[in-house]
Amino acid sequence: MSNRRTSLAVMLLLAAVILAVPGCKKHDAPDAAASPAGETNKIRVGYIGLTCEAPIFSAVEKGFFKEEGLDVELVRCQWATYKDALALGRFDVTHHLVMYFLKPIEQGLDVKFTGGIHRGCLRVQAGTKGDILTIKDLKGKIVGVPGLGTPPFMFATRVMAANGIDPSRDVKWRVYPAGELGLAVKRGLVDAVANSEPVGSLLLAEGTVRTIADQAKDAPYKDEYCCAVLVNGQFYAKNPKATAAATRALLKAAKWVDTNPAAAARLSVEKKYIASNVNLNAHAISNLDYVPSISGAEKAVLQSAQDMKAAGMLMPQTDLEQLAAKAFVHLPGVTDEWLKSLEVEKLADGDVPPGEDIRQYAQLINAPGAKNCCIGRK
Amino acid sequence: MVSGTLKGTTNGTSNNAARQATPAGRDDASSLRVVDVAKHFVAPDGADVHALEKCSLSVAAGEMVSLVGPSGCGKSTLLRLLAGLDRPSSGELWAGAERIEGPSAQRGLVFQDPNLFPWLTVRKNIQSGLVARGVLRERRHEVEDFLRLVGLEPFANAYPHQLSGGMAQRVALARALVNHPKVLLLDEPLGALDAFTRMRMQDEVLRLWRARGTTMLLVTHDIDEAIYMCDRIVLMTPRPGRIERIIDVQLERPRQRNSPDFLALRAEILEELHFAGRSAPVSR
Amino acid sequence: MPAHGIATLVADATQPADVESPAAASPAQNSQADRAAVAAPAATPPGKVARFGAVAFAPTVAAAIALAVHRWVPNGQKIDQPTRLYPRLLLILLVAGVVVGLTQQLWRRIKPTPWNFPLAFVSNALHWCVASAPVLAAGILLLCAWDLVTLKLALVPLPYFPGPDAVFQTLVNDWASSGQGQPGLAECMTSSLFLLLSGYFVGSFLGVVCGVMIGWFPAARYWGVPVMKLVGPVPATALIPMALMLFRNPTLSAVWLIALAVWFPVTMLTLSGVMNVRASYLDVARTLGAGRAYLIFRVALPAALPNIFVGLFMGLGSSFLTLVVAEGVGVQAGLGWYIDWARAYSDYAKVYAALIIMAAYFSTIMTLLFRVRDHVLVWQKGVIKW
Repeated sequence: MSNRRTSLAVMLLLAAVILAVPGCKKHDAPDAAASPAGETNKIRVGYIGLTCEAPIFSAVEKGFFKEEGLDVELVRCQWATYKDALALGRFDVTHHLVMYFLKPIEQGLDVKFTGGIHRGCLRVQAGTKGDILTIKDLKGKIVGVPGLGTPPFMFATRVMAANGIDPSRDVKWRVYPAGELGLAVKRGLVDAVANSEPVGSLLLAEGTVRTIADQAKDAPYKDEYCCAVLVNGQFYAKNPKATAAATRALLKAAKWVDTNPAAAARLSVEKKYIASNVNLNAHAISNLDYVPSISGAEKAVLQSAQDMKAAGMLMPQTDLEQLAAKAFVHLPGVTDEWLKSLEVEKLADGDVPPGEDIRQYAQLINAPGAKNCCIGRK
Repeated sequence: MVSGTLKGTTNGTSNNAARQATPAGRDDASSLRVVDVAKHFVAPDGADVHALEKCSLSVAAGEMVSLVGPSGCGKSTLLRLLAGLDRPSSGELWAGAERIEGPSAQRGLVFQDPNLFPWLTVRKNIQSGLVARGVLRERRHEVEDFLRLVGLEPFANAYPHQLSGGMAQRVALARALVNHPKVLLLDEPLGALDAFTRMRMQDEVLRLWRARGTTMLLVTHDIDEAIYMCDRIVLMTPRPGRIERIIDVQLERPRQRNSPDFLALRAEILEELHFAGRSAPVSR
Repeated sequence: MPAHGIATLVADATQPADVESPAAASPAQNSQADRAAVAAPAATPPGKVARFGAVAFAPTVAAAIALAVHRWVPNGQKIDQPTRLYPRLLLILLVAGVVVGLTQQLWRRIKPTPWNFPLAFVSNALHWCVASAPVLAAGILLLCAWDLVTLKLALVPLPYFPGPDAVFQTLVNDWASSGQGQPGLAECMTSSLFLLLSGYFVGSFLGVVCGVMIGWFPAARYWGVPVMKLVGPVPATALIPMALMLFRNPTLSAVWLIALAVWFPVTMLTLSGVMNVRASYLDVARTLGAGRAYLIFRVALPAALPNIFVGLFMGLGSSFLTLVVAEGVGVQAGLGWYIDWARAYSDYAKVYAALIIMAAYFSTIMTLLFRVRDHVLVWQKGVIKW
């Protein structure tokens, strides 16, 4: 009898501890506590090691953080616990998918959005062997996603709802790890998949799927921001100036990456932030729309929230205006006007040659040394 | 004066003498013959160990013979060879007209440790021989007889860990006997018991022997036990293990442990094994 | 013949087997008395009535304290709606505690028979409540502490640490459906239980078979041991692509993953048990005329059973650990599937609700396994205790 109770208590405690403590590589993190007099200028920036995190690497390498007077320390983390690592203060700022964080913020996660980084990385794709050509053809079919509640799932749900399909009744959802979605399509286990970069590009390159909804190209999503700058709520409360400075640095880096994608790709690979082939990386980056914006990000938050509520993902009693206000903060000195006036260098060899095709991915994938950094994660 | 000592003594090396000692009926599976058997093996440290030097022995049907000697004299080895659990390095072993090649239900074996199967009750232990041979259905009723024979009926459903040493040994005996073996080999079966239990168990075994007429070969280090129970005593000495002498015990049964003849024979054996005190004992 | 029960057999050594004397009638009765005396020293003996003790009211007091704390300590965490389920539960516990406490002398342990089964069940259950009052009170106080640490004093942050009300509310809300047309906890429970039990039985059975073969036959050992060394440490996540390739049906993939996780410890311990059978048992069996089948199935296997049970327990733990991974290969419902989804939303009330159910499953199956072991290994009682 006491055995049972003990095992129950132990399991609960263990689960709580395991869930709460995320895994991050410690980089001798100094306490980012503010000095009693004012704010700190030390900031920890988190990253996973993805192609799309090019603005983070560029901001560090090109000295944008230093320009803003910040002493930066990079903290490398894992996909699975990224949300928790940010919320619990393992690092202070980063940029990541908006839809990944919106529902957790509603549940009480203490993080804030401060600016939009890039648009469009989510897609819904159907197997080439099937007969699905548009979203409407998805009625009654099986859709594979990296998880219920992940950004690809949310995007697919929103697109379906906009096309008159009830995602909770008219389709069947199956969960597979992101890296195995292609395999699921090939084996016929699912009719269509929803995913984020670079899985989407890779599947297209392999010829496994055709895209039927693209967040980067389809209205109204193409103006919507996929990824935004995120900051730990308590850090922001204690250090608003440092938060603003970091945001500016990242937004500037985004603009730089948009102007010089090839240079950004080289930088990411040569400095060993990601394990990939330079050309592959350049392609992926140039396909994303790195146009930083503040208003765009704010709109994205509200729009996502509205669609999520319509799809039943948010609690019925949630007030959307309040949620958007809680989630997005305007920082001093970080405005669209400032962004417009922002100038970045344009390097001669910084851009990708025109006419390069995504199908070149196929050769690049099989080239030695090309590793897919984002495969196998959600 | 002292009867039973000098008649029929034999040195353990001559084949002819061995054949001479066996009465008629040596082709009966109840009789055993050991012909020039030697056993040696390699010890863990690489040394060659001569457990048995060339030995020869004959046991007649229905005889009770004991193998006596200090440790290392090869008596247990010889017993295992007779049981068929080991093969000799040279020589042959015969059970009647058949060569001993492996274990058989006809040659039951009782160890010093009763080795009862701990997951079976007393009754199931006793009947395990029948189950092993697939004859349980026909012979099931005999199990009750054996339980009664060894006086353990009330404990038929007890498990081995609930039994005392003497009771466990009785179960082991019953288990070995359930197959009606022609020969029963006993390897120091009473060694782990206290002196009083041992004496009672010796009467027990004698009773069983008288009732069934099984040929019994008893390995013991207790000289008194050998004299009390056996028709013949085979004296063995170690390094290398060999048969030193075979003594006919001509005392009448039931034997008296404190009779002069008994004690005289005892003295003689002790002297033979150099334990009487006048010279150094056998174990070098 | 000795007049004592089975427990006092040493005395028998003083009396020889006098086979003609009749068996005593008393050993049977005495052994029953022995058994009764040894069983359940903590609980009251069957038929006896407990004294009226104030300690039976401990759960009531605990419930009252928890209710007071919940009602009058102000909330530290910001929540959208007032709590409903938790205070109601406490109120029910309080009232029930008073009633059971006042009637405590009525409830005694009754042996259940087909005629009085409902009455026996109720009486035994309530007797257990009275006897375990201190533990129940501690459990309720634990709930109170949980409430304090999370909802009231907000010592730990949302969304990771919701209060007990949120978790209980989730258990109720998500029972039939967890929102967005997806299966609710009831369906998740049956789905996971099916996966767990199928995987566990398949893996255990194959594990015992492989263990016996590898343990007994040198040829099997020669090929089998290297395979085990390779397969053993592979984590389930790495096997997902293989699972997808082998089976089109996601349920089969999931069962295969769990079965593999169970197979390894069961095989390891079975083969070690078989290899370590005492040679003397095998020798004895051979001199009793045993053939190979008897030696393997009637000597080696029973002798290895204690080891096999250790393997079964380890396999049980492995199966639970693998469940969450196994449910990531395209299943439609399940506790692991539910937990993954809830974590993506950072809705930890759901996570804890599912974990509570998993813990209940684990301890129930564990208890059942212990019962089976106690029955099968009844011959070990008094020899080894674990």
